[in-house]
This record gives sequence, C-alpha cells and structure tokens, in this order.
Amino acid sequence: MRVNKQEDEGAVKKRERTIFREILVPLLSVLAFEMLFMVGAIVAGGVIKQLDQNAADMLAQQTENRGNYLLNDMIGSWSDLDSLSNVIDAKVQERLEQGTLRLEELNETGAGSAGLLKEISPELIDTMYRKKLSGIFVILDTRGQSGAEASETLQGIYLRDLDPTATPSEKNADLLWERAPADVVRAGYIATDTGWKPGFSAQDSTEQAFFNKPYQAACTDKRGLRERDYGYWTTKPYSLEGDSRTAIAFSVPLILEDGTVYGVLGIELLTDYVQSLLPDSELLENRQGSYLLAVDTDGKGLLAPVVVSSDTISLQTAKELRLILQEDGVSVEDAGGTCYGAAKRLVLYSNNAPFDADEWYLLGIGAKDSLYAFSRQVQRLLFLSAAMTFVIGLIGILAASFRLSRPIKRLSEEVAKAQRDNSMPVLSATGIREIDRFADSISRLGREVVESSTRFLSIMDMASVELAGYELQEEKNGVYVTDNYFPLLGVSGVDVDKLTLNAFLELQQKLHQSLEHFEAEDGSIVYSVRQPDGSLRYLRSEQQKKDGRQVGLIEDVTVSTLEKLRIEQERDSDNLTKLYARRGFKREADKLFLKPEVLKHAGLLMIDLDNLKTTNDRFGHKFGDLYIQTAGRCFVENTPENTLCARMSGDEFIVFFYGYDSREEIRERVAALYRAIRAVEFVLPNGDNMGLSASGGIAWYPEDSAALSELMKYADFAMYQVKRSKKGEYKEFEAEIYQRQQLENQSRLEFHKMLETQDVDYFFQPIFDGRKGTVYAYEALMRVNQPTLRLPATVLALAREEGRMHDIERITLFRAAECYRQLLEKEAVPQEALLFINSIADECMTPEEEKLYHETYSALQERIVVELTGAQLDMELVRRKSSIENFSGMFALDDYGSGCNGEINLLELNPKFVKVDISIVRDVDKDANKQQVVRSIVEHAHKRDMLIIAEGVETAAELEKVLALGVDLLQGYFLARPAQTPLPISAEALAVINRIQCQDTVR
Amino acid sequence: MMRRKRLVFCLVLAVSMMLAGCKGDGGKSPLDPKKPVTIEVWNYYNGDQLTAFDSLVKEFNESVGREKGIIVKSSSQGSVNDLETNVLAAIRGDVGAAEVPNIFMAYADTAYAADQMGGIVDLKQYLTAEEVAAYIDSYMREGDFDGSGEIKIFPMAKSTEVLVLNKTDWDVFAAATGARYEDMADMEGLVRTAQSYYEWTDAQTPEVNGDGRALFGRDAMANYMLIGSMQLGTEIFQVSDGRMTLDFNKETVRKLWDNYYIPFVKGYFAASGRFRSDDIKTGNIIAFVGSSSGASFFPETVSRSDQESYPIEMEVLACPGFAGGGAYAVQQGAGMVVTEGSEAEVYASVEFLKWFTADEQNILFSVQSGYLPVTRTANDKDAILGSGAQISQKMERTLPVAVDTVNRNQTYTTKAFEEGTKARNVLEYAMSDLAAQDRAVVVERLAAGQSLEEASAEFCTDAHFDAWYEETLGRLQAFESQ
Repeated sequence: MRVNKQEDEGAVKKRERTIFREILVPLLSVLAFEMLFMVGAIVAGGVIKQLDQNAADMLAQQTENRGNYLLNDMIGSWSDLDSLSNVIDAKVQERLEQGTLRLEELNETGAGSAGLLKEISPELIDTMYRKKLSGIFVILDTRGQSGAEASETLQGIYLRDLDPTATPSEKNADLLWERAPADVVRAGYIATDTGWKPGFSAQDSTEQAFFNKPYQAACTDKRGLRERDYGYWTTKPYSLEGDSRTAIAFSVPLILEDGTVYGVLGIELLTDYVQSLLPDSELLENRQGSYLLAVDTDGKGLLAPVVVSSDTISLQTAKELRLILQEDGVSVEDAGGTCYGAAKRLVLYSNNAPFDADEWYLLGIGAKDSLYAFSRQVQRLLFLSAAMTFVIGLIGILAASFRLSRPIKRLSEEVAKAQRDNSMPVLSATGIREIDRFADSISRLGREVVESSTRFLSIMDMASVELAGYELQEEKNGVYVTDNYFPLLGVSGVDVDKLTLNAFLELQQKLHQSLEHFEAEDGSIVYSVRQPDGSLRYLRSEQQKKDGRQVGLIEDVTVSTLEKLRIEQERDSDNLTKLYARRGFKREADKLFLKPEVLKHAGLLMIDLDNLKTTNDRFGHKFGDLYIQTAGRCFVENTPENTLCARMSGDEFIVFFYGYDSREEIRERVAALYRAIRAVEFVLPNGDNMGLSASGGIAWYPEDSAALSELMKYADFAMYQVKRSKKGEYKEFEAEIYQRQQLENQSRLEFHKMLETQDVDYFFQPIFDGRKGTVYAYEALMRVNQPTLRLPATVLALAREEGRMHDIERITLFRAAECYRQLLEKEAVPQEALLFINSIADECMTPEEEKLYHETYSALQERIVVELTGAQLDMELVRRKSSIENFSGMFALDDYGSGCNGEINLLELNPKFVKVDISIVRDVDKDANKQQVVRSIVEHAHKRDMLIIAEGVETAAELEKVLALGVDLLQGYFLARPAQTPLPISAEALAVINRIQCQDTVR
Repeated sequence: MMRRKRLVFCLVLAVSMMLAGCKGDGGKSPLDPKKPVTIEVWNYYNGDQLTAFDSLVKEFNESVGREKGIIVKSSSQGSVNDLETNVLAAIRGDVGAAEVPNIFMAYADTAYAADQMGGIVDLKQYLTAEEVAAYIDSYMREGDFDGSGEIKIFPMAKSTEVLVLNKTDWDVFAAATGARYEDMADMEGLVRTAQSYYEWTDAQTPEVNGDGRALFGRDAMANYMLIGSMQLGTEIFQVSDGRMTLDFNKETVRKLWDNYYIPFVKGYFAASGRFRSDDIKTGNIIAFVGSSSGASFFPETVSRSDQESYPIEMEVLACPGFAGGGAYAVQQGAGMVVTEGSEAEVYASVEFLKWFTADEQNILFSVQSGYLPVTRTANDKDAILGSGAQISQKMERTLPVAVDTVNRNQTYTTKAFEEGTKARNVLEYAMSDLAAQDRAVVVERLAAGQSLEEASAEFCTDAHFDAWYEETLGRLQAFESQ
C-alpha cells in the first residue's frame, strides 16, 4: 500500500499546483485583460484628443461671441458719431454764417471758442451717456495741414465718466473735466479732474494719434470723404498729460461744408473699461484665460496687443509675445510654446478707408495647461480609476484566493499531521458549506474505519470491570478476539491470532455447553466459571449481529451478580425463621395461583402470635426472637411438604395449605398444627414455663375467594375476630360478619365525610292547622346524601358513638335555617309559618356560634321552634338554649308518648308545643288506650295554653280521630310528605278537615 | 475572523477616502484659500481717494486676501448720490439694478434706509468688545440705529471741514492790506475779510465797476447750516429713535443767512461749478471751507485761462465757527455697510474691513486720501506724521489741522432718519440756490452800472429773508416725523 501511494505522488508531482495558484492565476488573467482593455479604450478611443479639441473649440467660440459683442459696440455704437458731428458742424456753420464767430477764434482762448464749447458740451455729455463711453472730446484746430505751433495750446473739451455703465448722475455729478476752458468749467456743475487743464497742449493733441491721424487724413485726402470715413481707432493706449489712466480712442475729423477741417471729435474708452467688457473669467476656469484686443498694422500677420484683459498676463508681457495670425486662430510664441489662441477679426473700417490697413482682432488666449485642464483631469481620473480598479482587484483576488485556499490547505495539513501522528485527523470547520460537508464525510468515514478496529479497545479501556470481546466478519472470514477473551472464560492456550472463524465458533459452542450459565433479566447470558481458588466468577456475555458482522462481549459481573443473588435471598426469606418473607411468599403463592389444578382446595391460615409484645417487653427482644423462631420452626415441622410457610411481619405468619381435595382434609391438618402449637413449651428466663399461643384465621380457596390478596384479607379478618374474642384459637372466615363490619365502617366514613363537607340537606314537612287546613309551621328534617348513610337515626347514633353530637347540633341549626331562608327567598313558604328544628337536648351552641347564628339568621330566629326529645331533659341546657339572643323562646316536646319524652319533661319544660308521637297516633282510631293518652294530653295542654301536634298522621281515620280528640296541629304523610320544597296539603286530608270543621260548626 | 473583518473594513474605508478625496478640515473660518470668496465693494471715491482705495484693495488681495481666500473687487459708483441710488435700487431689486454688493459705502441716512429694507448685517457679532473699543466712539455709534448698540456701519475713514487757502494769492492780498489768518478765525471775521478782499480786488481795476473777486466759498452748505446752528445752540434735525423733530430757529437761521447769503449776493463769497476746489483752480476764489478729504483735489496751479496759469501754494486753517458759539465740528465720511450673504461672504467682508482700518492701512489711506483714521491710536497727528508713510505736502498741511479739529471740537453729524438725505438736500440748496440766483441779478445790475449797494439792496431786506425762511421752513417741515 505505501509503495503504491508514493508512486502516485510521484506521478502527480509533474502537474501539481496549489489551489491558491489555481484560483489566483485565472482571476489575475481576467484582471489583466480588463486593465488592458480599459487603458486601451482610453488611449485608442481618442477621448482625450476629442476633449482637447472641444476645449479649444469652446475657447474659439467664446472668443467669437465676445468679439461679436465688442464689434457691435465699436461699430454699432461707439464709432457712430455722425449725428453728433453733424450737430457740431451745424452749430459752427451757423455761427460763422451769422458772423458771431470767426474761424480763427476757435484756435484761441476767448468767448468764441468757449461759447461754442459751452454750447456743444450738453450734446457731448448726452452722447457719452447714451453710448456708455468713458470719455468724449472735441479739439478745435482750424489751421489745417500746416498745423499749429508745437507750443500752442488747442481749445477744446475733454469729458470723462469713470463709471460709464452706471446710470447718469443728476447734474452730471459723476463727470469730470479733463480739459475745458475755465469759463466752461465755472458755467456747469461738473468737477475738474486733478489733471484738469484749460486747453490741449501739443502733447495731448497734435502729437497724439487720436488727433493727428484723422485730422491729417482729412486734410491730405483729396477724395472729400465723409467725416466718418476718416475715423480712426488708436492702435496704442495713451494717457493724457497729468493723468495716469490709459485709454484708447476713436476719433473723426470735424469738417465744414467747404471742406475746412476745424477739429477732431472723439470718444475715449479707458483701458480698464475695455477690460471690464472683456471678462477673461469666461474663457477658462480660474481666470486662466486672457482676452487680447490686438491690431495688425502692417498686414504682416504679426499682432500688437492694445488692450489686455487677463489675470495672468499684463500688457507689457503681452507685448513680448509674438502673436502670429494663423488660419485657424493665432499662434502664440512664448517661452515654452504653451499657449493656445483663438482669434476673431473685428472689421472696424470700410474698404479703402484711410486706415483700413489696421486689422483688429480679439484674441482669446489660454495656457494649454489650463485649456486642457479638464481633459487632463479626465485622463488622470481614468488612469487613476484604472489603477484603483487594478489595485482593488488585485487585493480582492489575493484575498479571495487566500480565503478560498486557506481552509483547504489547512485541511490538507491536518490530514497530513494526523497521518504523521498516526491519529484520527481532527478537521476544523472552514465555513464553506461544501468543503465542510466533504470534510465531515471524510472524517466520518475515517472514524468509522478506525472505530471498527478500536471500538473494543476503547470500551475495554473505559470499563471498570474486566472485559473481553471479539468481532467476527463473515464475509472476510475475519476474527478479532481480545487476548483475554479465552482466559477470562477459563480456557488457556488458545492462540487468538491464528483462530479461524469456524474454529472460534466451535470453541465458543463448546464452552457454552460446558459452562454453567443462566439468562439474565436483560436477555444476556451469564456464565459462571469456577476459578482455581474454588470461587465462582460470573461472566456476562452479549453479542450482536449486524450486516454480516458479529460482535461479542463478555464482562465480569461477579460482583454485581453475587450482590444481586444475596439481595434476592434476603428479600425472599426471613432471616430469623428462615421461612419465606412476605416477598418470597408472594412470589411462590403467585406461581401457585396460576395453577388452580395444583391448588385444588387450599386454605390460608393467618397466624398471629399472641403475647409477643408482652414477651418482648418482659424478657427482651432476644427472647422475643427466640419465641418467633420457635413458632416458625413449629409451623414448618408440623405441616406437610406442600405447605407454604411464611413470616409476613413481626408476629404474623401465613401457613398456606394447598393441593387438597376438600376443606375437611385441610381442617384436619390445621387442627393437627394447632395441637402441635399448644404442645410447645418454653422455659422463660425467669424459670417459668410458657406455652406458644397463636390466634389464627382461615380463608378457603376457592370457596371464599380465588384471589390470594382477598384470601389474605379474609383470613386476617377471621384472625382478628379471634384476637378480639379468645386468643390462642383459630376461626374460619365468615362472609356475613365480614360484610356487616364493612358496611358499618363505610357508614362511619361517610359520617365523617358528611361532617367535613356539611353535605346535609333539610326537607320540610308542613304542620297544618287542624281547624283551617292551612300551614302553621314546617319541621326541618335532615336528609343525608351519602351512599350508605341515609337515616338521621343512624347519623345520630354514629354521632353519639363518635362524640360528634355538637357538630350535628350545629349543622342542624345552621343548615336548616339556611335551607329555610332560601325557601323564604323563593317565597316557597309563607312568611308567617313557624320553623320546627330538632335540637339535641344535651348540646348547645358555643358563644361564637350563637353570635354567628344571630348575625346570619336574626330574622328567622323569632319564628324558630326548638324541638326537643330525650328521656330526661337537662333543664340547665334548655335554659341556655332559650337564652340565645333573639330566640323566640318556643319549644316543642317531641315524641310525646313514645316513652322517651314523658310527663316529667312536659312539666319541667312547659313547652309551647307538644308532639304526640307517631306510635300513639298510629291506629289511634282503633285503640281506645291511645285515644285516652291523646285525650289526656290534650286536656293537660290546652289548660296550659300549649298546642298539641299529632305526628305521623297516615290515614284519614287517624286524622278524623285526632281532630276529634282535640289535636290542634297535624303532621304526617297523609297530609303532606317532607320535601325539599314543601308540598301543599293533600286534597284528601283537606277534605277530611273541612268536613269535620263543617260538622263542628253545625254542632 | 474578527481581525479579518476589521481589515476589510479598513480597506474599504481607505479606498472610499481615496475616492472621495479629503474634504472638510472643519476649521472655524468658513474661508478656503483654494476657493476664494469674492467680495464686491461699492464706493463713491474719485481721484486720489479712489487710487488710494484701489491700491490698498490690491495690497489686500495680494497678501491677506490670498492667504485667507478673499478677493475684494471694488468699484466706484461715481458719487455719493449715485451710490445711494444704485444701492437702494439693488436692495429693492429694481429691474435692471445690479446685484447687491457685499459692502457698500454709505452715510448714515442711506445705511438707515437700506437697513429699513432689511438685509444689513449687524457687525457687532463679528467684533470683539476690544476690537470695537479701538475705534472712536462716535464713529461706531453712527451705525447704532435703534440704540441697542448694534453696529450697522463700520467706520472706515472720516473727515471734517477745514479752511483751505490759496496761499500764493492770499499772500499778495495780505501784503497789500495787512490781512492775517487770525482775521478768519471766526465766521464774522471771515465775512469782513472777504469784504475787504472784494474791495481790494475791485480797486485793482478802477475803470471796471464791480469786478471785485470773491474770497471764499463753501462746498457743503448743509454742513454750514447744521454745524452753524449747533454752534449757535440749536439742532435743526433732532432725531431720536429714527424720528425727526425740526428746530429751524429763525434767529439762528437769520445769522446763518447774514453770514452766507448776504456776502454771497454782494460777491464776497462765490460758488460756481461743483467743487470750490475748481473755483480755486479757475481763480474764482482763494479760500474755501471743504472736507479735509477734498484736500487732494486742491489744485497745484490756477488757470484763469490757458494763457494765464500759475502755480499756487496751499495753506490749511481750522474751519471758522461763529464767534462765541459752541465748539462743534462736522464729522463726515461714509462708513461701510455689510449686506447679508453667505457666512463666508460676511466673514470675509469683516476681515477686509478690519484689515483696512488697522492703523497701518488706515494711516496709509489717510495720507493718500485726506480722510482721517478711525481708530483712537491712528487719529493722532504724531502717529500720522510719524507713520513713515509717504505724505504729500497737501496732506502734511491738511491732516494735522483736521485731526486737531476732530480732537478739539465736539464732532457732529445728523442722526439717521427717514428721508434724511432729502431733508439735508433742502439745507444744501435752499440758501445757496437763492444766493446764486440773486447774485446773477446783482452781476447784471453791476454790469449795467449800478453800485453794489444799489444792486444788492433789494435782497438785503428782512422781508426777503422772511419769504425765504417761511418757504424753507415749510419744505423742511414736510420731513418732520408725524
């Protein structure tokens, strides 16, 4: 096997890879492919290039748009000075024609020029506001081409508005004079600027392009164009003397009708203002773009910046750039070539106008870094996300590969370790269901394999007693026997290693036959093997067969078996007498009772040794034991073989005779036994002689009962009868006596139960008025609801026996009142009727009971009549009864004439009612003596205002008679039986009463 | 197992942080230098003041602003009135109005009007008590409209009035007549000196009748009326809780009339064009009372025409008050009002204003603009002159006088009330317009050969004053709070 395995390993080695690598490599390949694809898509897709182009296009578009706006202002608004110049021309023309102005005056300080300037200044201000200009000026000079002397000052006005976009101020408060004659200044409400001068020096006029360019053009040009055609935009920013602000200007010559050029009219745009109209922020993010207003003056395509609106470059630095016009924009040649420019041509001049060589452009310039910032950012983001994807993917793949392979690797290590240690591998859970299941199955399989070979060893190791076992595998003809198996069974010299299956079975068979054995309770076989020292060794053998495998085990159970045997012995026999004990007797008897044919006729004699207690007391237990032993021996010795003798307990024995054909035979045996018993004599420790005395009772099988337990009970009963009457004798069981006894016991039980539960009902029998037939009173009569105990007389008898008369008295008083109260509530009885309650003459309620009674039934108390009976009334008790609070004080003397309640009671009690006993009433109509008794009591009673009640009236004749004898009240079945809900008077009885009543009335 | 889960969690966290980029450093400043907040500031400066303001703004943007992430863009709205109009239009949201600026310059009246419309930030919450205490009290109180101690106007630069003199021409006059500066120490003396100057100049050309020149002019007539009244013991606009009660005392007003209207009609005083500095430039007058902040506009030369131009020197004297009157001087100059905006914008606005009014910057602005510093420590002659800031001759003359004026007098400015600007405009123009109009008549009459007495007699009557007084009173009463 081992060789084979190594070969396998060698073969596999060439292709062997770790699971980690198996997972990692394909996932990495996928990731790498993804990366390639992503990067490829970014690079080859041209997205970045497109983005760059878009950015450039947007810059160009923005420049185009802004250029259009600016052009609109420059051409459409600012440079359109026709109407203003016409007004000025007209005014000058008018003055010249009127003669109020000479042309030369315009060159000099004085009213002539000042007057004109004063007059046109509102027009200028208006135009300036309207066109939102930062400045406007008129410079007068009539000397034409020859021009003024350099030292000469030219007349004119130069107005400035520093907030051209703001709404015009009241009184032109936001305007400043840059140049204006003092007269003009004083005349208006416009402040002078710090650099104010009354006139224009050469520096501010003839030397400035805004003046001399259009002026000279108009003077020299012979075409006689319109003023506007000579218009000129300054290509360089300028500033006035004494002022630091730079501006550009557009100016036109002022020409009279005769072609005389007399000055220049211009508008000014401060550089700051132009800059504000070219918001560089719109070009690129973070104000990285620049607007350049530039001009190409020589047609060479090299642009000179005029105004720069930029956060990044100044006009000065802009001038250093080489801005070369290209077809699709402008190339910006700077230090690094890092700028891109878009150009929008601003066509400011008409074709062939004097200055149309100046080509104006608006340039939008941006550093490529800024221009392409977005695309660079996108590019960066793309590569970053690619890198992130790669890194996260890599980490994820590594983690996943590691996670997946680790548990498997661990499993393989655990298995390897187990192999090294030659132990069962303990496979830890991986948390991966499939692998865990797989590992589980593997380890279960492994365990089973190992278990089958190590099961015995482990069991045997654990066992506290000596064990041996074997396993047989039928298919494989395999035998595994522990070395100690045969020695344990007392066989030596068997070589277990060489044992074949059949040899083993044969040997085992032989042993089974030769060794003494018995079956244990659980079905296993216990062998007893005689040891060399002679003692017995008990070996429990058990075997199981399953799927062609047989497993057997023997176990040394000597200790437990011996213990068990000992206990059984002790339980079944009596130590003292060596007779059966109760348990042993029971077992043996039960066996017999299963076989009536063996029993035939049997007699169970229950014996109780007399005087054991006194013997024990007098002579000690030792002698008591001797007494018992002697008795036991006597019983055994004097009974035939087939008799079971047992000591049940203390001094109680059973001698069971069986297998006889008749009772007579048994009686003889019993008699013989008793003779033997009486013959026994002891010598007491004090030297006296003493005989053995045993009372016995016999019950017969099958006559008395076929059941052992009943026989024992009956025999016991008979024995106790003997014990109660005359000890030392024996008696046969008499069923009749037994049953009577049982009944009595039953009633007694029920009596106690009754007291306990107070489950007593009261029926009511009406007592009728003998004259009217109406209800006079009710007598409460006890009804006991127990199976055997029903008669009130029995109850009273038991109560008296048991000393529970007081309970009966209490129950009677409370329950009767309670039942009656319920009737009253149901209106089943008339309110005025009295209630007779039978009271026990010699019992009284305790004060607590009296109190409770009064609290509960005070309303009833006034109508309660206490009925007394008794041979001799204890008047002390009667007085106590009558002293109960709220008691009506009415007594009834019951059973008068029965012999119980005689005249003495009548005299002493002096009751309200006297009840003539049923024995007197019965057949009173036929018995003159009884009539006499009634007559005399009636006579006696009526004299003392007592009422006579005839009890137990059962016939019409009796009724007639007692009425005739003068009885006042009637009670009896003939009138109405007692009932839970009282019954009305019977029709027959009522008829009798009515008849007699009629007769009396007639009489 | 647990450790592996933690590892995975950390990994996820790290990756998500990398992807999200680090964001939010949770500092207390809402500003981020990487994303600067742009603050729009509207002013009404012109000339040197605008230049000074803009250069400081530029300095701020390049230093503190860059560091903290604030870009201030300032734009001049031309004049105070334009600024007011534009600001109120913006706040009202008028069609065509500009966006409301973050900061705008405003006098109390405008600030009050804007505040009534809502959207003005109370700066108290942005300033510590110490910071507030550093400023001159009365300046800070100007923005306390409801008396609760709120700060709705941040003082930036203040000015007062001084008497500015064309020393070159004065010296000629003084040499000829023996006039002294002290003659102009009070209002009455000023009028007398002006009369003497008129007569002296008139005498220069005996052949021309009534060609005497005015000595003096005023820039702000309302200041004259208001401060003059205060000096004479009555406050014209008595404002409490935004409600104005008028006290246009006839006696007081008469005194104001006598000391402006009368000399004006007679030609001792003059005013043409918008600013008296222009009158100095054109040689119309040789002295005027104007804002200390206008000093930079004082011309270097006088050009009566382009033929006749000569350099002049400047002298600055304390503004004369009424003899025996109270020591009051005007306090003027707008403050800065911050409008509601994002937290960052308001924060940035306050940062800018604090920087601007820090002593170094405030003095620098002061010496360039003629405005007075607003903090206690900076509003000091020695502090200004010793600051090391380059200071022009004009400023060197003006600032000490102005600082003295502020420190020696009780400074006064009207409290804000509804339509206060309009009411003030009545004071600005009511007397001066009539004076200019009547003076034109006198000039015509003089040209026609009448003597000055004859020409002006019609206007120097009680009845003429009464008529004007009643009319003006009526106009002013219209502004009284009901």
